Amino acid sequence: MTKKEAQKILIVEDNPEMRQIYRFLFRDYSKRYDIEVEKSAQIALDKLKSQEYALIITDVLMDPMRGELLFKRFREEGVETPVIFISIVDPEDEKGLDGINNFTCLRKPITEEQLMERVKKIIG
Amino acid sequence: MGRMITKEQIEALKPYILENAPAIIAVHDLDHNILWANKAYRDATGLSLKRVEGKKCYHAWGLDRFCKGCPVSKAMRTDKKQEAELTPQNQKHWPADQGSWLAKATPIKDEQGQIIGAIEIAHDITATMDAVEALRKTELRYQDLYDNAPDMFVSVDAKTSKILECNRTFLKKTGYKKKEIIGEQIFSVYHPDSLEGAHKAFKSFVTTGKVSDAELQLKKKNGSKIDVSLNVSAVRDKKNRILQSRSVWRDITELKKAEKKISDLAKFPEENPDPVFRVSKDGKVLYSNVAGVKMILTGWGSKIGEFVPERWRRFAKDALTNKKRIVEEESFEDKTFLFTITPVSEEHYVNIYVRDITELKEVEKVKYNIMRDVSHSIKTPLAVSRMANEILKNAINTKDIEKAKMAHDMLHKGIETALKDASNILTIYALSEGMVLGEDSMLSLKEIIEDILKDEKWMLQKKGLETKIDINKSADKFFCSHGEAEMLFKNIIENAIKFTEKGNISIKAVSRGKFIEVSITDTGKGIKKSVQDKVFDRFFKQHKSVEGIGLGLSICREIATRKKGAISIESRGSGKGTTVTVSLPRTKI
Repeated sequence: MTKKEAQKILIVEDNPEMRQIYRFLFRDYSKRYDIEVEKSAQIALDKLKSQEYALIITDVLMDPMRGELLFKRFREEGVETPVIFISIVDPEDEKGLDGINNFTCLRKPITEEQLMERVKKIIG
Repeated sequence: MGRMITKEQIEALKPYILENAPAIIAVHDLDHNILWANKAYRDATGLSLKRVEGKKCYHAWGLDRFCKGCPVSKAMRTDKKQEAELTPQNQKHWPADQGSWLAKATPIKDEQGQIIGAIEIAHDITATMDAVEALRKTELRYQDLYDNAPDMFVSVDAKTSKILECNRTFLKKTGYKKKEIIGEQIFSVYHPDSLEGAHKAFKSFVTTGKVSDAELQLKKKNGSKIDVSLNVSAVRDKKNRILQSRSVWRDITELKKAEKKISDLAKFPEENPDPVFRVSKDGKVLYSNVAGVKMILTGWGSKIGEFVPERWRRFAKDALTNKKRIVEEESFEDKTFLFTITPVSEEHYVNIYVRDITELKEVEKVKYNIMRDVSHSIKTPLAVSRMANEILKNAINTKDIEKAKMAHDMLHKGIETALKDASNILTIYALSEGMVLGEDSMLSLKEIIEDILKDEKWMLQKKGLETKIDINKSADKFFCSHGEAEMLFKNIIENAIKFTEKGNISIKAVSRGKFIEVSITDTGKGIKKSVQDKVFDRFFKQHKSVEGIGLGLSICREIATRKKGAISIESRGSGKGTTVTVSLPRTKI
């Protein structure tokens, strides 16, 4: 068995404390997942032009570009990467997500188990 | 030649004639004793000659003393013929069935000319007296009707326009006394406002003899008005010339009041800026006020007399059938209206009251947005705390001290942020409700600033920010409560630290007239020009990702305004630093 390479995950979160939390959550899984944490949708979009990711995790309520708009931009750019939305608001509130696929939603606060279970389910 | 009645024969007949004459005839002595009485006398008293002769005359009439105004005693006293009417009306204790009499008396003298008695001859005048009495009663009755009629009656001389007569009702209503008004010009009782109308009415009376329903105003003695309706007919002489008026004034003050009330009430819906209209059972517009005409035309294309849309016809019908009010909303042209359809069952129509609730809806939306933003803002630090707590638990299990420390820091910060947000919300509402944070007193700006910086020392050191304080001696003392001053400057300094990553924060104070002017300048993120006038608004945040819910500067403005000071903010733009300037009074204002 060859050693499997760590999968790349892009995390977009504008709250500095949450960014810190993601770093903690993934610290113990660094062999399986290689995370990059970015604080704005614009930086994430720029990164996506030159990099490929196995998964994108994004917040919904961000300023100035909300998560779901970022998601639409991904798709417009032809990026088919699966997305997990993590938000403080109910996903069904977010009408911006209508009519698009390959995403899941999680409510804040999330536990380590919840997040890891979901990540594992999507990218193994 | 026929047979003749001789003088002797006539003389012989005289006692018979006297005895049977229809008038009563009696001879009295000086003491009112009857010496003789004829048959008519006896019939009238119902007594025989025997019971009359030698008896007092008044006993024969059922009295115990002689009559009031007795002509017999008068004739004997005066030696002249006397007469008097003796009636139940002018005699006391006179039995009513004895009727009325016209009694004449002639004194009787002896040869020496001494009065020795009198002859009484009386006619029965009962029938005449009864007729007179009846007439008097009728007159009294008419006088009473005239005086106490509900309307005011006046007679006016056609030539002189002077008041000849008036009834009591007139006096009562106007407050005049009869002697003040009789002989006065009729125009003097009219109110100046209707003098012209009064002249016109009088002219009409003297030319046509008639005035019908002229609405005029009388002037009471105290100067106030009475609304009257005037009707006049003429009293004419035999040649049909107009002599005087029969004028009737009817008091219509109450009527006028009621009319005014009704017309005022009718103005209510007309003046209503909100649409009000009426729809019949079959759905036609029966009535609409001005606002309603415009609304139903633009909204439904309907006019008065035309049908409303099907949906509204159904509402009208349902409201009438169920006798229940229906409340509905409808929007046209960016406006939202609330319709209250009220059935008037007995009239078979509905009244529809409309209210423009566009603004209300917007306020509701803004309120909802604020509530949503506030709860999100508080939920975010709490969510961070909960997740940090989770990490802390795992770190303890795995004995990862470094991870535990960092998680604990985050947990602490999250809780502090949530608490501060909650207390800021409470503070801003308490301040706008007039909460007092302690008594105003003379404070030292330097002391307050130094205390705040001491609290922020850790954060300043962490970020490597320098502070510069330059407080002019004359600008140190100011008048404010300690709690408010601390809250005001703490919010501004915390903002400066929060938005500045490198450089310094300088605090400068100078005195300007009755105020001190404090400027807090940082070298931080600055404020976009486009939002500089919004930063004092409640819940405004330029950077959504930065903690806090956007109340800090609203609280500062609330405090500065309450202290009769001012606050302003200046930034040359994004990334160019910010200066907040506060002025507060140096002494009590």
